Amino acid sequence: MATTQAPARVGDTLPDITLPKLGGGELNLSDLRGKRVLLYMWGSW
Amino acid sequence: MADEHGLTSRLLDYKAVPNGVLVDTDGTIRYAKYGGFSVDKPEDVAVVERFLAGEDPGPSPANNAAYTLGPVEKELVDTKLRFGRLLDSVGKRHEALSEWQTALHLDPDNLVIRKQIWSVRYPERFHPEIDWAWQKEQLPKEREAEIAAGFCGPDGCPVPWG
Repeated sequence: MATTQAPARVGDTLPDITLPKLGGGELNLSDLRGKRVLLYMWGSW
Repeated sequence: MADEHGLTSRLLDYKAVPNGVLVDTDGTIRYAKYGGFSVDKPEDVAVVERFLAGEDPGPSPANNAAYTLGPVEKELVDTKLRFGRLLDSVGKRHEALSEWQTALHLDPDNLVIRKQIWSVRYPERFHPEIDWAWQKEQLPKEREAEIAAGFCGPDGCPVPWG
């Protein structure tokens, strides 16, 4: 589904993002609230 | 986690990877480096260590984009990228490439789109190993050809390549 919300910038709250885990199941990043999180994004290309 | 539909690139508006984004305990984004983030770079490690120690990670790298897409263009680029992935997933590779190429014409500095195209056009450069040296040579060659052909983004060709 397309999203038209403005992109999140530094200082904004990270949007709710739910993605499939490689080992099965899903993870919602909001589940990590209370922890300091490093999101590392990379591509296989 | 696997982001096969490019959700994070839409929500965070990045055009390249690898990226490092630091999120505080309350969900606030404290730092973002889009493109070139590496745990092998001491300066990136230092930022993460400061953050984990409860300190200010410091300023995020400036956005040096040569142009800024408007909301309509951005939505069109994103739609074509996702539609291309859908076409590719059902075996319509030629049509997928056409969608991605159109998206790249609109947003030529978008390395996510460019590498999507590369991975389909030049699979031998990605499997069994990624040929980084080839990518470094290919990018300026393509940009020179694109600039010569007249597509450089909505603001013309502000950044010479070479």
